[in-house]
Amino acid sequence: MTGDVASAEPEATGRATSELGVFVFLASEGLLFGALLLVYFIDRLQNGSAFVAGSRELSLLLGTTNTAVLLSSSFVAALATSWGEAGRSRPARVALVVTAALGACFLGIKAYEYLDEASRHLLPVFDLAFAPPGDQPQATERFFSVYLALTGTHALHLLTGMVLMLSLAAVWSKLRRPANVLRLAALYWHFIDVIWVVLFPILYLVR
Amino acid sequence: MSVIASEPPGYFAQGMGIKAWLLSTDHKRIAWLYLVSLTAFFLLGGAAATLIRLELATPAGDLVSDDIYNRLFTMHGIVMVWFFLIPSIPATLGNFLLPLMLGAKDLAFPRLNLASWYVFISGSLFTLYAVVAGGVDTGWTFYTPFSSLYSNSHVAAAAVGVFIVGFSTIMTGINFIVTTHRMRAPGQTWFRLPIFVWTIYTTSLVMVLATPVLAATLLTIILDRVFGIGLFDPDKGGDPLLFQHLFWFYSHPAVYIMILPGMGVVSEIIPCFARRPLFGYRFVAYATIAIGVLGFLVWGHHMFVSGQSAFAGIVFSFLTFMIAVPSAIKVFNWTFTLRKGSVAFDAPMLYALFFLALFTFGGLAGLFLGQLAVDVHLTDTYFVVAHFHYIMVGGMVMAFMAGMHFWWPKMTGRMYPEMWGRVAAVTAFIGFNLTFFPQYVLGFLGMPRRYHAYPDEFGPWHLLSSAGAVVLALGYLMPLGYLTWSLFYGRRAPADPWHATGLEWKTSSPPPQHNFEQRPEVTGPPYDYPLPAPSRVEGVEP
Amino acid sequence: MTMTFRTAALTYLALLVLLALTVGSTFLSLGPLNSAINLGVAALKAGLIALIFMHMRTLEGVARLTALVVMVWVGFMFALTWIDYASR
Repeated sequence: MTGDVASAEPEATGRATSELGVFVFLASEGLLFGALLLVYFIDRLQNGSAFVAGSRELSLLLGTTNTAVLLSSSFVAALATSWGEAGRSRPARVALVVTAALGACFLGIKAYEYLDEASRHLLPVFDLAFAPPGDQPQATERFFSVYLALTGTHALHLLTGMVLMLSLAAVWSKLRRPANVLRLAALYWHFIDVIWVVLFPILYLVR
Repeated sequence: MSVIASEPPGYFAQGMGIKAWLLSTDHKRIAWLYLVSLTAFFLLGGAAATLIRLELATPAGDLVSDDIYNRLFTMHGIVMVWFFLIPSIPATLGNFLLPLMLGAKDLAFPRLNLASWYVFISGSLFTLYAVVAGGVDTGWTFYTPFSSLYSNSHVAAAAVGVFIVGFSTIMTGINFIVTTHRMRAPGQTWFRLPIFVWTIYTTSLVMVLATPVLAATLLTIILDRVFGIGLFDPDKGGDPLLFQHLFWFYSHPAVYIMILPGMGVVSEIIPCFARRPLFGYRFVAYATIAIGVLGFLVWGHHMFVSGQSAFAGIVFSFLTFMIAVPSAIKVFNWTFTLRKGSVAFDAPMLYALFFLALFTFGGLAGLFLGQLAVDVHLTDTYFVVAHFHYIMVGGMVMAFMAGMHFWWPKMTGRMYPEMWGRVAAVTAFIGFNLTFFPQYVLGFLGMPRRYHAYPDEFGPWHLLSSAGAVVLALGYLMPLGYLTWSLFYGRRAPADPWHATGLEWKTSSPPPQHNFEQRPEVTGPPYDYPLPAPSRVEGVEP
Repeated sequence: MTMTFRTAALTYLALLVLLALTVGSTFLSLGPLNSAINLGVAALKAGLIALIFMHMRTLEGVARLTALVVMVWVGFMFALTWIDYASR
């Protein structure tokens, strides 16, 4: 992966090269979410009070729990990285699995939220009935459409991250420098966390 | 040539079997994979264009129905933009040349490079499916709410195809950016880089920063069509204009993805065939970056009459005029490079000069369109069609052909037949102007785009345009013939047939598997002309 | 170069405290200050994750630049689109 610069100064330079690649990729991902956030921003400018009403319908408890879950997963991923770099393969691999498990936990809670919202006729998806409380259903629908687009895209990324973490744990011993790969995978994981840290207040805390 | 015998075997020696091509991570081979696939798409998009011009040869809509016509120009647009123009120079010449010009063995991530081609192909399958299944009728811009709510054509499949191809673009962009930062040979500092590298680097930045916004935009269409989440559905309080903001935040910079590499090619060729250093090298490099950045700030000029606020129109109009400045700097620099040069009119130079003329002409038309009041008259007329074809076809495709001829000896180890090259260049130039100049007139007279029938008074201009298209097609088919011929029968090329500067000419033609026998070192500035001019014997046919 | 357990744990703790702070603030009616707190805390949390977990503070310049570029480009997108909506 690292080409001929690496052969001059093997470890550090090669790692920095791949790391730069990941950061450029994450910049690209940042713009993807930026575009969706623009939809949120414009819609909120035009439907301020409906967004407050919509946000109140979300579960603050579950949202906060999920944020804590994701922050914990990032912490575990960070531990995995340092253990990997210290050559402690076993704890690093266990931490990877725990990271993915926390991700699964997040998705489970998220799925429960979706089901709950759907049962309260709050999800404007497929042909489900949409009947929010309040006197401006159309404007409230803006909130929930954007909510679905943002959290759905985020969940898809998290799923990708889980697959990444689990496959890394699985093939760990077959890799030449697993710690370096882990460092890159962890960057992606933390990035997903950063995205959620931004999404959480603008979706759940507009009360 | 006696040197050939002592030179190392070129990269073709690694094998010519299917596996050697499809599984190799050698950037030179991947460039060929792209070249072959892009040529196929160019022919497909060209076939659609041929049918469009045939239909328009007569005023009556008699060849195809209006519905089929919509699907034809949509296919032409989608295929040409995403499956030819965007990857054209970066994925072929860029892929082949970037490591050579930097003095590296390969790109930073060779496997990612190969993966990007497979992603490209899998995305193209979706789009081909959409075409075979009956096509798309939204135009290449996929405007909502038509694309999301009303169109009964295969929008979702096409959108998924373009979405996937976007990943391929991003992968290429990441690879090029990291390669430029980290794989330069000793002494190859930023201001010793050929302008081609500057333009490929800037293009990659635009690819990485704009393409994800297209992905988000297409995602919203898919969300709407498949999941029923109406983000831009006016019935549900959505604003279709917001879709246009997002779409053009990608699609205007995408124009620069298409044209910047062309500017890079021309910046290599003009100094070489004028035997003069590139005039104002640093200004050209800075202008490249400036175009890349400013390109993100002008998207609203596609929306002057779409319901955007008048004030936003003024802001975007102003910014649009700003971006003409770095473009003009480049044109002046290329022109000044020619001054007092000993200019040789070999095929690459002919193509490059035609680029210069057509790009300038098309760019000036862009200033008409950037004016708010004038644009009200010209929006959605053939004036716009002529404008962007002058840039995309007259500029970009000419530059692509220029580059193909210039580096053909390096890529294949064979010379193309020079006389045929010149004939093809001149044919394409004449054909191009015959096809598209009448469209300026048509647009000015008020002929709207995207109609398959029109009043009789436009007849002569349309007929002229259709006739020109035949000449243009001839100009493109000729290289396909003689370049293929030269692969087998062309004269062996020396390492540096044009006596050009630049690291890619310091290695053999074709280069060995790892590009250089010894790690090259760079000690001087780029474009260190004048060198002894190539003897006429070498440049011309055997 | 590598992050110590202590650094990671302290960062994690800080993140949880910030989370509690931002959620707690929503129970107070502070007007526009509520949004300011929420966004400020989000920025702090994102910054902590980026600088420490993603070890951006020890990275070379170019890699750090990517974060800045994202912010500037998203800024372009928001600003120019906002100009349209604010002046309709």
